[in-house]
Amino acid sequence: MEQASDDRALIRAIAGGDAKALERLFSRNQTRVFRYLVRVVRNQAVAEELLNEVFLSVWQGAGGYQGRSEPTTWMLSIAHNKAVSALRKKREVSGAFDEASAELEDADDSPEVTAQKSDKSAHIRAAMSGLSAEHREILDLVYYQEQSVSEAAEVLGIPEATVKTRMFYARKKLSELLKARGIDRGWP
Amino acid sequence: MMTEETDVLSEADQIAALLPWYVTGKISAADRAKVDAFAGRHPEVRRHLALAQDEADVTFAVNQEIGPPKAALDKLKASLAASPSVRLKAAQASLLDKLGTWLGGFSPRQLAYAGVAAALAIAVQATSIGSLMLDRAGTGHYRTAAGSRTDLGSGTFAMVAFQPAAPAGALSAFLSENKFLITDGPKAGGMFVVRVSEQVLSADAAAAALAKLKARSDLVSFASAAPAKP
Repeated sequence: MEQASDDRALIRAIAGGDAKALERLFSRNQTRVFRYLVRVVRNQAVAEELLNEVFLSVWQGAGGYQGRSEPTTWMLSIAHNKAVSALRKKREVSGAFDEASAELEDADDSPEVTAQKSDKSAHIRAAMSGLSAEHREILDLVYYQEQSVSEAAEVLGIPEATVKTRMFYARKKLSELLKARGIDRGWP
Repeated sequence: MMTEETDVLSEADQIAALLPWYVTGKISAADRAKVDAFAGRHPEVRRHLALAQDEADVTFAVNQEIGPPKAALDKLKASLAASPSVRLKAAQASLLDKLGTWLGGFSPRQLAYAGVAAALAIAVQATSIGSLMLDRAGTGHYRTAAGSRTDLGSGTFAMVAFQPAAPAGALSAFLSENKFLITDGPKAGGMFVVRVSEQVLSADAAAAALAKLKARSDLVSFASAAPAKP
């Protein structure tokens, strides 16, 4: 809560043209926004570019921030739009988008993960890497970014009911991928 | 959009969808009550909660392994410095802040006696602020006052002093919203000439425009009617 009110004050200062406030907001939030971008686009270099674009948009759009949503939710919604746009461009360039294998190395292939295959967490991690970008994104938004249903809806620009159904199908697909790896979670 | 997202979920599936938020605690009271009530009738939900907790733990661990971006702050600073519109915004804010601080340092009596010296000093700053006057004609671009001066001879004008602490962003938004345009200034005493309409307004309409300015006492410290061609 304190972080949110501090970030609100910084955004107000940014709207007034305070570049130092932008630097402070960036320092406080760059890691979480960057991690979100890396997880969605699955490319470190692209995520770094997008991170820069996100905070340039914050600088230019701070005057339009009404304070109705949490600052984090607002910044993540900007990041979501940048990531979606980047993925769309990638699809246009490379043709059909193979979500399971296109962007980053599959966690299955890393020696570290291979060595840990008996570990439940390693199996879940590997299965998660096989999810679509949309399904990975909803899991990250909720489990790591700790967005509520309404906040996730705002970030993604979709209705709350769709957020819930997307979460259901993401978890269901995860169970299916685990089952294919020999792990039956007993659900669904 | 995936067609699966238009599906209507069974009650059990709806509960399964809510479990991640139950685990993080970011769940509404109504949804929490739904989960608790369902779990009371279906004990297996407790085990399903453990599955969601496993997912949360792995997601957290995967994110934690992502290191910080490289030299990101330096890159952002470089981008800011390279963007003309960004430079302009910062310059505008800085100038208004300096102007506010500078004027705030004078008492009313000092301002009255400072007369010629202040006018000279303001004239120097007027050259700077002239380059920052906004084009409020809706193009969204900035233009210099010199470039637009020939268009500003008619209309209805006000003499306006702005609050020293008025944020540039709020001030800019207020002027834009009302299609007000700073056409000249600052003059002695920190007064600016603001065009409130391209048309010569009736007395009532001009008074209404002035009232709009005066109503924003957080941004405007003084406003009065000005001659038609300042």
